[in-house]
Amino acid sequence: MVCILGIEGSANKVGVGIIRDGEVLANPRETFIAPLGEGFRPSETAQHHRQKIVQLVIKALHEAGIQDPEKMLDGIAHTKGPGMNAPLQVCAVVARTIALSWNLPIIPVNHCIGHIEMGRLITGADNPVVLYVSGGNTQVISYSAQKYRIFGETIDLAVGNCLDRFARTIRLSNDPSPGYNIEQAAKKGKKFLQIPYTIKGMDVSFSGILAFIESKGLEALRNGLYTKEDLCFSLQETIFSMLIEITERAMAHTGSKELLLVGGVACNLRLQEMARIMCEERRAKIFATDERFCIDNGAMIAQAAYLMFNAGLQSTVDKTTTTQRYRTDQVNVVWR
Amino acid sequence: MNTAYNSLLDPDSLRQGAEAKLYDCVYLGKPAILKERFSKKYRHEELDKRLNFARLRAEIRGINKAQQVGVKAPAIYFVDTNRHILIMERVEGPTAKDWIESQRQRAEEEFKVQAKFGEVLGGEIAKIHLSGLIHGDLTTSNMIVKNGDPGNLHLIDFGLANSGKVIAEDKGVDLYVLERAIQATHINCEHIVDAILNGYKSVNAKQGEAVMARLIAIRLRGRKRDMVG
Ligand SMILES: Nc1ncnc2c1ncn2[C@@H]1O[C@H](COP(=O)(O)OP(=O)(O)OP(=O)(O)O)[C@@H](O)[C@H]1O
Ligand SMILES: [Mg+2]
Repeated sequence: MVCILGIEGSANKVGVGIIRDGEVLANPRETFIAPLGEGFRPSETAQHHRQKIVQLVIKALHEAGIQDPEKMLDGIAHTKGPGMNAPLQVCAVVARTIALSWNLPIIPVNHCIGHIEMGRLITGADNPVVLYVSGGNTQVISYSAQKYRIFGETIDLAVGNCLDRFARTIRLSNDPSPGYNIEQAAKKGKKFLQIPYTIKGMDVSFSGILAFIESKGLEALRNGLYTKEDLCFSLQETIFSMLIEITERAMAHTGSKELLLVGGVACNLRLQEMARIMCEERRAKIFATDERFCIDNGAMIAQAAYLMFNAGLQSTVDKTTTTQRYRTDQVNVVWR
Repeated sequence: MNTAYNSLLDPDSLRQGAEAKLYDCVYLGKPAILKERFSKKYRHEELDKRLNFARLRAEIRGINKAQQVGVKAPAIYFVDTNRHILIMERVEGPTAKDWIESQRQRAEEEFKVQAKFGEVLGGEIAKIHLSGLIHGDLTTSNMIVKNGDPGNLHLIDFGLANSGKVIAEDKGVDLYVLERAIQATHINCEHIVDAILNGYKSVNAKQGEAVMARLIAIRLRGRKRDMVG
């Protein structure tokens, strides 16, 4: 039996997860919520993580029933990147400390790979096309020859970033998350505003949409022609259609019959619904998880590390650096 | 499929592309393909109508414009704008995607033939760009190597094409999308990408230089983008 403790904190969530042979023993998490109208800043986010991380480790060990970590754990994993530097380092420091004091190997993990491997574990999807959508990432991924290859991605903003910034311009709350509040508001929207729709091959672009919303969208709001709810609805319908379309393009291009949704934006139920309809139309199977696992969490880092550990991959404390940019297709997927 | 067209079609030949259903058929005695952009149930009706119409129009314009500048694309035989249907020449041969993969067995020769393919492709793209046309969906699924001859390459699927106010940035993105699609789809095919860019530059040096500069900037942007969350 192999048991790994994983620490994630690349953005505004900090989490500690423990996985033993595919079973999630514990996965507590805390979220830093930025004040109204603001995004989360690196230094404040890191401070939040510093304040929460020790109690999260203790909580995870307790929930998992691990009294003697040195004996009962086989490795400590942390997110190497991509993400925000200061918060990443908080987690790396804690990971190194406990790895040294419990005399355990340390395993640095690519955050995106964590999402994919957790999705595969939870849903049982075998070899899916992966739509990975979150605050910082927008990628359509498919595996071949030891790499998770990126078929489509955003050529400018990430989808979650676009949604978050839109939420700020219309002053929606960041609690529990801007995306969640847009989703709720969109349910009450009725009138569809035409928003630029930009697809380039299997890639998408959101910068024009944001610029449009910040000028024409706000104007329509002021004129009383459209409500906030209408804007949320129109934005969601447009952006999600673009995502589903590039996903379908990648599925047609690779001939894949499975789709896995991961990342924070993937817990949006409207996005899941659209993906399901698209998959039905092409007789493909859809796999999605709920907010426990599609939002950043510690177990996903533990799970990727578990696969890496079993494949003989581990690092030493002096080599466990972090990096803000770390592409999904840079990782050698030796465990598949 | 719409009943009006049923008698034309070979029902066993259905292929589902990304947004269209395609059938083999015979049109006025000639081998043809019927491409129907069906409505997508997942997206808002208004958006769906707008996109289907825009893409049919873009495809017709794109094919016409490409042909005008001597780039091979399937001849259009028939258009039904109400049903988003296009009947066009059937180009016999593998898609570039299948063709590249089928080349893998022949070790020595493969390199040369694939380089030839890349140069031809790069040249065709440069020609359409020079005319102010952006293909918009350059993947190896959207080109056919007619009769397996890389010198006889046909571009298809102009649904995302646009023309008019086209700047070097748009051309750079067109190439960037292709480059990334090849990297993701075809393992160890950097030489094809190199050949494409060489073929591209050889058509018109001025355009070549301007677009290569953009391409480098676009790649860099991709690598430097923040990836938080
Ligand atoms: N004129 C043609 N002759 C022969 N084969 C064709 C022709 N047009 C399309 N095909 C085949 O059908 C496949 C799908 O066609 P196409 O790319 O036009 O549709 P699509 O991908 O669904 O469209 P879109 O990308 O606009 O959604 C091609 O990859 C090719 O194999
Ligand atoms: Mg196509």
